[in-house]
Amino acid sequence: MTRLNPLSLIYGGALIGLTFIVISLAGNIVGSLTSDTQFNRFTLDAYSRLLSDPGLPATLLRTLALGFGSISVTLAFAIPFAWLLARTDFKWKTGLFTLLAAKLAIPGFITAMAYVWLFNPSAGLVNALLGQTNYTGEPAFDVYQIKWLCLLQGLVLVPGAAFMLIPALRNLDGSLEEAARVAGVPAWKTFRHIVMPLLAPGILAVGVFYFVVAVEMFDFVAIIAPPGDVLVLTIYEALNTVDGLPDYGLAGAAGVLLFALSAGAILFYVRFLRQAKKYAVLGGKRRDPGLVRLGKWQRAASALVILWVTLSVGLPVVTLLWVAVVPFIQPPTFAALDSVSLYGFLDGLAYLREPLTNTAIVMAGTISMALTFAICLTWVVTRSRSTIAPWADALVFLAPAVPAIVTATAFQVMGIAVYQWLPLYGTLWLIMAAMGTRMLAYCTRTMNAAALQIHPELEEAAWVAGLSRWRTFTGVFLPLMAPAIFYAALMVGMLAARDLTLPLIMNSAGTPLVSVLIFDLQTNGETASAAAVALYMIVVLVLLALTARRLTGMAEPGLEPTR
Amino acid sequence: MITVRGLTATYRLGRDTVTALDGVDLDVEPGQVFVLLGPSGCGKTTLLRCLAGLETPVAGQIEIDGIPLSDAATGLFVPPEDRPLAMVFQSYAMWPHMSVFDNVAFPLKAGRRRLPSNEVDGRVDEVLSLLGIDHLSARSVTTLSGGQQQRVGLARAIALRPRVLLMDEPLSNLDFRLQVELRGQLLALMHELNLTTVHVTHNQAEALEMGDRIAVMDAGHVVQTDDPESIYHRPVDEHVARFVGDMNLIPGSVARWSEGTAQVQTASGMFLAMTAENISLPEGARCFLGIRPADLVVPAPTDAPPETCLTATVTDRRFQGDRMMFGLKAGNDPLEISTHHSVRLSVGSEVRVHIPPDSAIAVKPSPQTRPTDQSDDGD
Repeated sequence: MTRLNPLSLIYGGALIGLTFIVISLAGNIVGSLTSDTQFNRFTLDAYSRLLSDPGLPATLLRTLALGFGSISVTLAFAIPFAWLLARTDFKWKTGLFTLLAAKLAIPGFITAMAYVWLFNPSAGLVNALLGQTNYTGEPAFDVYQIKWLCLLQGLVLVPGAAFMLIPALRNLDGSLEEAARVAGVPAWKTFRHIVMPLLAPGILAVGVFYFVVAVEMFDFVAIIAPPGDVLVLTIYEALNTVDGLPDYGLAGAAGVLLFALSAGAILFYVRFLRQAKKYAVLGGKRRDPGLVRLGKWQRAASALVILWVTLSVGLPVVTLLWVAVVPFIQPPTFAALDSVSLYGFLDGLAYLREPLTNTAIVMAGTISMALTFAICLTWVVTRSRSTIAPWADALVFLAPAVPAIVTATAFQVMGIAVYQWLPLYGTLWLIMAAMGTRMLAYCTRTMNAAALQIHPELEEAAWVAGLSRWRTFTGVFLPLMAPAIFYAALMVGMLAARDLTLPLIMNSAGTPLVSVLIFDLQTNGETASAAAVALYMIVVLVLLALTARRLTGMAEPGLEPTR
Repeated sequence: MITVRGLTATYRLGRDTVTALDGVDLDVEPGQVFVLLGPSGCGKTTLLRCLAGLETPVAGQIEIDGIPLSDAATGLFVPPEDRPLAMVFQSYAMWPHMSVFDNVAFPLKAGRRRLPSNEVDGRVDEVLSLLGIDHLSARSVTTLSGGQQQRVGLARAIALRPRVLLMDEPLSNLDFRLQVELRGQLLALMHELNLTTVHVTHNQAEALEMGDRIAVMDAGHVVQTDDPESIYHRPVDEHVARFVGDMNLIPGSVARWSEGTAQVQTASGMFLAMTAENISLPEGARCFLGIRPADLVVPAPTDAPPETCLTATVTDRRFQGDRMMFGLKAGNDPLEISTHHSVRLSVGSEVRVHIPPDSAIAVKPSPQTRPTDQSDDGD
């Protein structure tokens, strides 16, 4: 009598997860090779249309400019912040931490919306206050420009980049700096010749990763469309053509191009990393680097933090608060104070009823899907010694290079392809599947790191003591992974709730989500309600993010005292 | 050469402030190999780091060659790069992005004690060949073995021709055989270069072999500073006796004391013993009668005076190759005896044990009798 081996459940879960990742990778290629939505005739027509477009080189250049511009802004803040948090006696460390974690939770498109209200050339609050708008002549500020996109995207990416840099700074062996100091090398030369070269791989990793993020980010471009395309806009416009029929071929081809750009950046980084292997930490005992005393530089550090907080949190939130209480966008004058009311908040609540339920369903579905498959994949990759483990690992590594907009297109194309057997197209389920796939890569990477921290001997001890592998999985592996799983669940919930790109591209008209509601409200000019719903969303997400941080302490990698 | 007065250093552990050094005085003569010996957490590494300028003392002064380097009272603090010393790190602290040559050359090019650029190559080659690693010059340090990295670390330090060489457990990350081999080579090199060296270790054999003088530390204090033989044979207190080599410590009290000798009353009788210099043992005070396992004579010679002997029961026997160890019990006090491997005593039998008065030592109890842990390998 053969019984189903419970372990095959884990392998099954991992395989389904991998299938979804493969769909997100391959869906675009399939889409780009079809001229229409029949999927029975393959052509290179879409590529020739894309490549023969005379605007393409300029689009690519603008895309690159957007990427490099954004990471320059990001690194200009993230490197000092990471250094302040990891290596100095900066006075407001806890405060900076909380702000970074909170900012991580504020959706980018809401920040973009606030900046449009502040600086759009025709009626932006600042322009109106200065009396310089399109209607009166030259506007003082025009937010619809690549440089504004770079600034805003750059500011938004600071928390993630800083959190990624902190472990690199913490892990630097303090005795390497001390050895230079004792050998007579002054502090700044030590920093230049010892610290910087050793940090270079870490900084480059963050730079490449956020270059990819900045290039594929749709939150800002969706709201602040610059003059002239960038690649994500090319895709979006192909999906939302004037005649209403999505051009999946062109969107797919542009998606493949965008993916190639991302994958190229990641491959470059992998090559660099291989070369940098020689920087691997040597044997022997490492020493905690001591904390640098800032002394009179405390103020300069505080000033930098205040600048960032003002631009990326203070200004947007204050703008939202003002816009939410006035019936239309107007500068805060005494006359405007008369029209202040809370109707925006009440209307917002009314609008929220259905989207809130939908968002909750998508959050729950995304969390269950991403976590289940991620746990299976993590086990297969780190524990099984199966032959598919290295392949699974490579696929998961590649998955984040697939831009959100490309994943969305891929799942749309797949949804249409299988519609006659499985009518998921246009439903929340397809959005969940796409979102779950994006989160799957994120979860698997976090969980792999956690799983590698758990000594395999703990599980081996259970096997040797007579437990089956399945009982070991449920009785030892899962409980030990619980904090990582819990943290991932909270983060996925937060990311799913705030995502705009997937629901916007895969819009299922009958089932709006909160993020799409905000977008639609602001597009339709219902600014007070848009701002009110955005504020509701920020409050819930920030609470969620800070709870995740408090409960698990996992958002501060490397900051626990190692002594 | 090096003068340390009243040095006190603290560090924070969570919300508490822990005193790592508590009013330490130290004098190191030129050309000496001065060893700081003690268990984990005794403050020896903190003391070395204070000398290097890597820690800031909260009280006390440090001078080298009469030049004050740090004085907590006046706020004077010379930063590490301006002190006339070099340091070898426990972790070797090899700069992984540089070759062997560059690891040695970098401080000579970029440091305060930089050489004219045409002299750098010569100096580097000179120290690399002095240490027998000139053939590794172009290699990346990450490809070197522990012993080779250790030599590069040493080359980097002595290339600076420092007034003082500081070494923080330089051998503790190497395997045992290599440690023993390098001890001899290091010692020869230091005497050849006539370097004043402060050497931190928790390994008592290394300390005894290498030190011209040894300071035994415990809980932030220097307990005893002496030459190696005095440390070994005339420990001032229980802590030094236990930490430096194995010693039987039979509890008792001082019956009579005069400079250099004492009579100790124990449960097994009254015994004559030596004492360390410069300590006083007031009559009636609690003390220990200390004797090394190899110094006990068993069975006692027939002509041994009865007041130098005690009777004990053999409790166990452990064969160690060249030696035979016996566990004994004299009344309630356990004793360890190390004999030639040919000696046979049967377990359970009674034996007479001779305690030669010139090998016995009366030691004071440690201020706070705390268990010492010799198995731990670092601070």
